[in-house]
Amino acid sequence: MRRVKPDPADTLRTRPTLLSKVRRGDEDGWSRFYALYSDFIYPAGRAAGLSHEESKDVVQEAMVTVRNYINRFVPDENRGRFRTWLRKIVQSRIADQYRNKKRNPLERVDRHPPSEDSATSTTNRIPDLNEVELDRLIDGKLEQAILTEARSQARKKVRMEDYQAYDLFEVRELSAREVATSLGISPVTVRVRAFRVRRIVEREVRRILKMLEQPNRFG
Amino acid sequence: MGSKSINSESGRAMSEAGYRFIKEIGKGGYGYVYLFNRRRSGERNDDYVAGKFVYRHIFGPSDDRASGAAYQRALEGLQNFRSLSGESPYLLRVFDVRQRHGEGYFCYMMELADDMESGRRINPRVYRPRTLKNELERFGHRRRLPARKCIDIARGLARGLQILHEAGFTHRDVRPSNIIFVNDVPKLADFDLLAGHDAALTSYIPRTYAAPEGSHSSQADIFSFGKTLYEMCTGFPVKDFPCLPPDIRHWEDHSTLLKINKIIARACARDLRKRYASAEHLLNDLAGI
Repeated sequence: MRRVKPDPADTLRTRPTLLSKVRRGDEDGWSRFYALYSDFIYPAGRAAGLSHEESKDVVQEAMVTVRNYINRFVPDENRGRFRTWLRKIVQSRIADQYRNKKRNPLERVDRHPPSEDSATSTTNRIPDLNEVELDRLIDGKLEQAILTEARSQARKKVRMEDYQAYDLFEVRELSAREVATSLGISPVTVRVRAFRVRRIVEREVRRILKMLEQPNRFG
Repeated sequence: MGSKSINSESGRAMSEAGYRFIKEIGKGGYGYVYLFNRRRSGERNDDYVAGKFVYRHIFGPSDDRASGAAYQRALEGLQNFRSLSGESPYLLRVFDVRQRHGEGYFCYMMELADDMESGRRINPRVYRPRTLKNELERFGHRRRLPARKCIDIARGLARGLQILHEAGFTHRDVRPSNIIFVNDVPKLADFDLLAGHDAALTSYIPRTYAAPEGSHSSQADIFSFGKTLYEMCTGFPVKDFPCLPPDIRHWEDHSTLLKINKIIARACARDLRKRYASAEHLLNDLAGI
């Protein structure tokens, strides 16, 4: 694959050392990191059955943990990726919220009563989601956040007409014929334009993942 | 808050000069806009005007040279604009500039925007200026304007921009909140940042409207104009640019919107070679729809 020359104007590209910055306690890097990850941690909390306030607490506590322990994280393909490490943290903070509810029965909300499966598991077990489901959920939210970021970066790099075709076809999931009518072009042109943008979005996704999971290569 | 943010000196000064302070109607980066009543002898009807007060302390400490220079630039922007404001019905008319640097401000009077509900029938108690921003959020939610209306507004504003640019100035802050309607005519307003094409000057235009290369050129104004036109004809907030509503193909003015979309694409091209070179070119294309 052809390597892309870094563009200094690109927000993310100017921050390939995001994790390194977070490690150094750089406030700007930290804000960027917070913006990127809080977008997926909060929905993960909500999807795990926590309230708005509890999910906000999960975001705060997970971020505090990352901040305190980021220097101990060693990217190593054999031991796990950054995503896996972060996922464990989020999982633990969600479990904490459920444990707090148990300790404070007055605050306990039984919207999601523990399943039989989870009642026999460890204290870290989330009442209504098993670990595999929670893993999938957190991964899904993270991927969504990365895709959103990748699209927002791609939007700055492509022609407006191309992005419009991509958005209607790929994001809004209209048929090629409907997009063609919407934009006054042929269905073939819709596919060509959407493909052109998709390639760039995919490239952005790969780059963001690489940046998140192999910070040493960039730092 | 209105009477609190106008100091007693300027309040007295305005009264003495024949303007009666009524209330605050807007707030900008450098000052406040107030509603005044100007009753001329022999006239039976009330005459309302807007007065903008630009305060030195908002720019920074009085002993700071850089903020002093920025304050001076805002004054120069006003003076530059004043010389042009009578040139076109699409530029807000400004009059009665008063420099009160000793008291820490300068101010000027300008045409009052129509009221959102009653147009030129101004009721000070409920007055709300009709800006393009308010127009797009009229009933508490975002809405779009019909394609024909967008073209009419866009032509007027492009003509206003053309006059500014041909006189050697850049507006630097073209966006819906800086476009007002007077007698239903759209006008470019808020020219505190108006200056020559000088890249060294700072602009405070939000990033979503700003051209990627900066806001120091006439082509940058055209870029911001394109974003404004996008909001007008889609009803989407500028952060969604360039996405289109999924049901656009069912809109009755769909075919006209596609033509406007092409103009937006050229106005907002990131590559300067593909963007309109001048407001005149933009105006020609708008006239061709």
